[in-house]
Amino acid sequence: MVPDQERGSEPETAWYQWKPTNAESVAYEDVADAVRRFESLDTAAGRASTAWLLNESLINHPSTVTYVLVSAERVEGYFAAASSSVTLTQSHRRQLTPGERDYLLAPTQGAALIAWLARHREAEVRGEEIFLYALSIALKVAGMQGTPVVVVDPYDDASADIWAERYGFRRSRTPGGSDVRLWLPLHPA
Amino acid sequence: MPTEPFVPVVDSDRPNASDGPAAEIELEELLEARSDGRVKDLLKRALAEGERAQREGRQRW
Repeated sequence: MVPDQERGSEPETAWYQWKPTNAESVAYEDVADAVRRFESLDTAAGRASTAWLLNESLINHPSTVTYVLVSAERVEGYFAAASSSVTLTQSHRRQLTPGERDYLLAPTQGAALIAWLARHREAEVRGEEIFLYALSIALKVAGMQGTPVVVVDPYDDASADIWAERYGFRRSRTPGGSDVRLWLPLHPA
Repeated sequence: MPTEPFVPVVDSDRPNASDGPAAEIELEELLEARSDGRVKDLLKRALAEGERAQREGRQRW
């Protein structure tokens, strides 16, 4: 375990960035061990998310930053955040009000992408806690550099329906492709 | 112990998802979504979750 004097008092769970410098540090041996033992749901999507955390997350840093939620028992869940973009279209031209013009000056807009998000199959935290924390990171970034939307890529149509029904995600248009990218605004009016 | 299903946001063919599908959003819909009470509530809850993690010293990065 990481020495207490380095981490301070231990809460029940804590968020860490899973990145190469941490993975190489003896101070993070317990986190590394928990990452190696991570197992998401026994579904195609769950197995893919497990494989990504174990085999791809460090390679993709820093273009993708991975956050793991660690308890004394396991990595309870994780998410990976990256930068992306969306194209704004305007079929009905109209004059925007000052508030509406905020962040919307160009057709190409930055977007926060929650690229991966998964929960351990025996997790004691709710998936929503992981999602809300991921969204809080997207909001911090948005507040500092103006990304007006957050996007996610659902695994399949059933997943897309869940994201839409549970959180109000909307489907973007994806010209030339069958993949669906869902989005939410990060700046409420 | 929670038993809710949880759906990972994944695409196994695209491990680094920053180059995902091109997304087009209608400006009118974005403006409408920004006024959506459900969205506002979700973002408030997300802010609260981030602040809680910070306040409780649970952000170790």
